Amino acid sequence: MKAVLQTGGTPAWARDLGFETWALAPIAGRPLIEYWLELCDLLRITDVRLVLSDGAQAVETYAQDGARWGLKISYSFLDPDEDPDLFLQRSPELWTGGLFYLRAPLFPRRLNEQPLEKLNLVGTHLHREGGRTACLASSDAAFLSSFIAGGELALGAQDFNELGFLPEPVNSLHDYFELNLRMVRGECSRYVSPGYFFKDGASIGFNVVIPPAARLQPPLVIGNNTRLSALSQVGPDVVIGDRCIVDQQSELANCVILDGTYIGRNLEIRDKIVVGRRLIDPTDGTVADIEDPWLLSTVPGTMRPADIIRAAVGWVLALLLAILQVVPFLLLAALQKITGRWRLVRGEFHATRQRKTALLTCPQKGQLPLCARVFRGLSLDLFPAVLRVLTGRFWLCGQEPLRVDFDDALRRELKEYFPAAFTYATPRAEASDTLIKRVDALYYAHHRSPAEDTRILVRALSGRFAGLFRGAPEDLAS
Amino acid sequence: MATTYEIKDGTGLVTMNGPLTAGQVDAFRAEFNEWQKSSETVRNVVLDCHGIDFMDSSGLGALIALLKRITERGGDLKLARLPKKVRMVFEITRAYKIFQICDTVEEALQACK
Repeated sequence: MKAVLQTGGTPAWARDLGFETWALAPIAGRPLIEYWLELCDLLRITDVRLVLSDGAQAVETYAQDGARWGLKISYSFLDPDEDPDLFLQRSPELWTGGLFYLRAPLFPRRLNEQPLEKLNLVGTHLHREGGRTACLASSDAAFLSSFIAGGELALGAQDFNELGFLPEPVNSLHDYFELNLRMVRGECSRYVSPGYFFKDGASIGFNVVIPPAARLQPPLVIGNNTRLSALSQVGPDVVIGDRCIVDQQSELANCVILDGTYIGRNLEIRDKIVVGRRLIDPTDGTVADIEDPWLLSTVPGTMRPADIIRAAVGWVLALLLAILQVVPFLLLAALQKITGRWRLVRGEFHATRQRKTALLTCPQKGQLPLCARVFRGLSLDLFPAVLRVLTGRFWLCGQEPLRVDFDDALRRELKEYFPAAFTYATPRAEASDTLIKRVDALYYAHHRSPAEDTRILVRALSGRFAGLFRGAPEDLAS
Repeated sequence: MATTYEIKDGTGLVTMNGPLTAGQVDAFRAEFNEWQKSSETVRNVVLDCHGIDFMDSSGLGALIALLKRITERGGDLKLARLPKKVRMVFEITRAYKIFQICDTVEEALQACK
């Protein structure tokens, strides 16, 4: 079974929200296409073809190769004026073995209160909008051949209720607004991954700053890196995206605030959608662009200033460290190479920006005891990782790099991933298990700052250096 | 910005057209003060905002200053026929709590009696 998801076409509501494609419009803080990709995973479909048109680059940048969802995503392109169904006719033989097809901007509304289990797709399921097939799932080769050839035979087809979800159209700003509010009012819990909760009617992202004088009234959803100011009131029924700032004394209720929006001081946002400096009344679709940046404006950039500082300072420190380490590293490596006790282990790790990187690590066991102690004491074993910082694959300080294949599940779980040379685990002698890695990673995502990085670096370097004089831990001795 | 001034049943009716932003507020304020001096018997004023196609915080500030000036003289200011976009600015800035806003000019004039 394969999936073909059409992401092209920009309905008016998505354009008003500033999106080139409906696929990236967020529902309760997550792009709409993500709900479909998760559904593909539940339907045991791994081979997904995203058919791009408007906003192609943004969709591709977001979905990448699909590894985040355990999918294998490939891409095709379609002219915006071309009929989406014609895409299937290009190579019909590819799809007759089983097809899950999405043609229009729909939301897969789950009908069960509990998150869905994995499903087995049998028979033919069909959803029509405006007299045409908008969503289809079938394993019937004869039906699929007829459908792809242009026929709209639906004899014996069932609707999607059988599978526990219902494709729901998003045709207007009002639909979009209501969908978001329905999610925040309780339906969010149907979409959470195992191990997570939406128990108190509140979902708050990573690195959200909430001062004690701010007042939160669930249900609400707040995205990552958002900052609330003192005396601000948020809720009930509020969805705030990533990177938003709510200034002092502002009140938000029954509204949707999209990513990167600044809400000025002492404002009252009710029954509205706000996108940057754009104010939208979803009841009639009125759009007002506010010129005053102290009322509403856009929060620029995807990186926080503190992250930029971390990256810049980290790179300079990594360069200094690499210069200091290069000579002792080569000398000790050469010494051990001569004695025949030197070896490097190659591993593949998840790197920054959805990339992967091969990294050579220097195992302690097997080294000369004195060399192992000096290697660890001077953090020379981290020299290859420090070089990765210089190439932009790693941060200097952050989370423990996750191994490809071994840690893929944890990688998918982490929304904020900062693989680094120096981590909380660096001073420890024993390797971290998955639980420790998860705890460290989540803690760092919440508390990362230049000060926290300094603390990690100082503790790692000083702790290891002190170990040089205390004697190597037993498990490191050869 | 084009503004017309008239008196109906003892109430001043000011009809505004065009944007009310930082570039227009000084001229509007001076023009209104002139008119107010020449119409000393008028205490209550109705602003017909139907023609305002855009307003920023400077325009809003000018209206608040106008309200203060009129109430200090014992009168009242009412806004009529606010366009939707301007009404939305009033809603988010909570200005709707300060001003009495009427749907029609007649309703506003009636409220001033």
